[in-house]
Amino acid sequence: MKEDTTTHGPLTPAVFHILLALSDGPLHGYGIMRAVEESTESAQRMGPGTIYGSIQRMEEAGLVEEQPAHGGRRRVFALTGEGSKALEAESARLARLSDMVRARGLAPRGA
Amino acid sequence: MHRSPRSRFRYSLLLFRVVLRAYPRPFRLRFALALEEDFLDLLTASTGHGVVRGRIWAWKRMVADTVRAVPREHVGAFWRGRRSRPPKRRGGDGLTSAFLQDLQYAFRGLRNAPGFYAVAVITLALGIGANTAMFTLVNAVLLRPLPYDAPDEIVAVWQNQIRRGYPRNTSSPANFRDWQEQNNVFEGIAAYYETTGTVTVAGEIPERVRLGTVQPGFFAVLRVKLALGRTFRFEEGKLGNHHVVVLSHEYWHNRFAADTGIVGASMALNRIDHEIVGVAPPGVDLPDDVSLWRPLALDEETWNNRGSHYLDAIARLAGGVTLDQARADLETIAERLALEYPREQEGWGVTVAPLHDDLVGDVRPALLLLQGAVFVVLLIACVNVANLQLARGSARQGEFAVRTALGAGRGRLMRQLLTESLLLASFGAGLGIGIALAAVDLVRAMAPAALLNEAITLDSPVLVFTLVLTALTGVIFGIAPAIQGARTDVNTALVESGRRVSRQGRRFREGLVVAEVGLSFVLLVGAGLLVNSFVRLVNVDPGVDPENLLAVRVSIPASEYSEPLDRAMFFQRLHRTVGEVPGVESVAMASILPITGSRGLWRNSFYRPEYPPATPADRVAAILRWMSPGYLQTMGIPLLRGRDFTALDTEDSPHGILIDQTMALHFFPEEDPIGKRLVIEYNDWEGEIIGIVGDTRQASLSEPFEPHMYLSYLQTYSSMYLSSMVVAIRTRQTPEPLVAPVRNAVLSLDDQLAPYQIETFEQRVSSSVAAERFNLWLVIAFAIVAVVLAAVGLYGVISYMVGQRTRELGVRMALGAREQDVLALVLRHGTWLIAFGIGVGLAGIVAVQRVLTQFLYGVSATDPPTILVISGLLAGIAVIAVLVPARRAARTHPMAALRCE
Repeated sequence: MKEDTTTHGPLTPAVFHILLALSDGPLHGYGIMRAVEESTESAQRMGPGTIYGSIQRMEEAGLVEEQPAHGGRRRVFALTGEGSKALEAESARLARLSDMVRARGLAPRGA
Repeated sequence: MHRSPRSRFRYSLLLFRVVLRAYPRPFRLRFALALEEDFLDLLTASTGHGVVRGRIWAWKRMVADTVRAVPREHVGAFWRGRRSRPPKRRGGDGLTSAFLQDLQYAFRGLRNAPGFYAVAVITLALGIGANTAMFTLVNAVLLRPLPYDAPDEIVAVWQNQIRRGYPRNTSSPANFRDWQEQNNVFEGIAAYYETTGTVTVAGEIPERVRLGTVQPGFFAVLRVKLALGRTFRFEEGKLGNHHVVVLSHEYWHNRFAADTGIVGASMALNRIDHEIVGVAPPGVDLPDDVSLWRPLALDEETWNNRGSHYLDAIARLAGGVTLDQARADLETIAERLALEYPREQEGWGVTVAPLHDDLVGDVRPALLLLQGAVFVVLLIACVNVANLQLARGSARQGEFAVRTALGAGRGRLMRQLLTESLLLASFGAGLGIGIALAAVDLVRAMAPAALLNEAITLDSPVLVFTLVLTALTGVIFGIAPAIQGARTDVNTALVESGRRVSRQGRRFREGLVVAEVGLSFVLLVGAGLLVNSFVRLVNVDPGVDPENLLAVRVSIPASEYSEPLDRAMFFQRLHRTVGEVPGVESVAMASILPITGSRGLWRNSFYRPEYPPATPADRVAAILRWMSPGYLQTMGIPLLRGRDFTALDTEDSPHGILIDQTMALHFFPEEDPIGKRLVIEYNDWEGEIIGIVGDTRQASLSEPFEPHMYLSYLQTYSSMYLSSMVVAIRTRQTPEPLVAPVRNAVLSLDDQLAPYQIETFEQRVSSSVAAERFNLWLVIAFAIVAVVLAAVGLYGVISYMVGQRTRELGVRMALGAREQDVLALVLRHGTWLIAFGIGVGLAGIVAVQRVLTQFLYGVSATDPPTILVISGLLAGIAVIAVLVPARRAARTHPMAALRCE
């Protein structure tokens, strides 16, 4: 089996969801919040403060970067190449995990 | 109607901004606006829930979010801060390298404007140097602790009669012994007095030395460990065992060449052999610069005496006892004694003061005044340099603007400017310490005797003071230019290339000049008042004619001259022999001469036999002086009424008393004192007043007249102890050449004597005002420096402003203004500044009036003539400083002025 090449290891749910939200294109804080809520059907709720905090750390880790502002007050962020890779790796890991879980019949198929 | 969310939700937004303060600053700086936008989105989205419920829902979400995020962000900010501390630049620590860079800039600036820096450094050096020199003195005299173990515990103890104006009176032996036996607050207490004694060594000229006569416990109170030998033993405080001495370290060095085998040797003191038992460590010379100590040994009768007050006392507080407790304890003893011995003790209290205060009490205010004055000089220097910096700062606005444009922040610019200021201050301090070293030598040469007992050296506390002062100076004069520099507006500065000063900057600089003029006015008025009062002081009539008058004291040892008659006959022979010295016009003797300070003064109580004092409190006293016939004539003291003593007034003839005018007015206001009888409470000696003489100043020129009584020693020698007289010699020419012949004449009578305190009366008058003269010269020097600095400051500011307004003036002239109009314009501006400055100075004088008054004699601190003259003088100097640039402005050719833009 090929080794995981990213250095980020398992990501926290918040980071994963932000990456996921940004995978559709650059977003600002409120946009990310809405995207996360929609994709998790409000199971994962994050306020903008939490989001910016996480984004700051993700930025330091090189996963996201701020887009040049369009003159407004909002701050818009986008995935970096590294961020996309981390998202892919994490998704693959989660897919493997869910395969494992399903293989043992612990979760309903097609849920 | 469509409203923007910002105005729609403005109250929520205001509140949310408060909530946002919870985030760490860096986070806030980056995300606050974005968060506001997000919150507005949330609020907008929430309107679907209904207004109130929507708001509540939005707020709940945001608060929950804040509560979750804030702690994390603070922790994160903390770690981020730690991580970002390590250098981002190459080459070491960021701060250090920034500082080095600042220094580099500062040095570069120095190369570019050497003239400016030279003026600034010299100005600062004057200020810092003068302060360092003055502080050297203050440190040596006021601050340096006494060289004893736990010096704060050592106190001086006095009897006092506050009501009569004697806060510190020496104690009587019996009273002292009561203190010693009854106190509960001292670890030890010792009596002593200071005197002089004659040391004779075979084959050498006898020498008069200062002598401390001390109880054996004296050294234990001070906790002094001798350098050699031992201190006095208890039994050496008894008569018969007391012929032992301890040498001071200095005397041991000078007189005995630091012979380590000296202990056990013997020396003749007052012609009696004394065994040298010890040598004190260096620096110990209490009571007052003494060469020797000998034990105080009194007989039982003397120890029971409560009437004669001559013992000083020092004590060491027992562990944990405060000064107030000690005072209370001794007051209790005094009250008890007053009940027990009302005749002698009533009205006597106790003064307990730290020994250090006691030793420096007199000079403290003067030194503090001088330190204050010199600090004002430094302030003026700071203002001047700040002004120079500001002027230069305007010229450098272009530089700052470029640096700002290249990314230097305000903080960075301020730091650079402060570094420059500190560099300037450091150069100033370096030069200033040089100035201080020279000044300290000068001070040592000029300082009155009261200051000279201390080792005046520029030691480490002084250097620390200078260091702190330098840093402070750098900040004081650096802060204004730094703020101004950092405020540089890039656009204006770049466009106008620093040609114009902002109105605000100009006002500030004018304010500095006003302050400068005001400060120097205060100093100048202070100097003027001191000159004024000094002139009055030296013109005070001492009551004697000081010209061509020589004085020398001769004391004879009781061991050789044991009988009263021996002593009287010696002094008669002395009188005759000195009178035969060629060049002597007349000779007389007295127990003490006028203007000799208060030490050794003998105030004696007296009463009229027909009105014996009913209670002790009714007793009155006057200064008592023994004299020889001819004293009045030799000293130039007028006999106002009655007759003088003659050689025919002897012990066997009726006893006479002379009193001075003050005594006559004071005690016989409505009757003729001549013919009245007085009993002097010294062996109840009684006599009749035979004459009234002119007043003389006793303690010093500045003190008012005190009542005096004069007795002829020829009538008192058997009832009043007499072993020392001052010979006053009126000479035909200047008295100095007669010093040696007079000394030889004394030695021809007894070659073991050591005449001392030889001085001309003019020297004595002059040294009596030495302290005042010292203060005067220093304040004058400070005032001159202050005025020069202020004039330079004024000149600088006016010429700078004229330079700034060249174009405006040119336009005015082109439009028809004449030369004198321009001159008047500039002068008016300068005159306003000067007038304001003097106004500020007047307020300053009123503020320091109380402090100043105690140094003045015969003139008030707000003396109108002085203030008027000084105002005129300062205004004159200031106007000249303004006139020079004003004339330059007036001569400007309009075309040149217009072209210069």
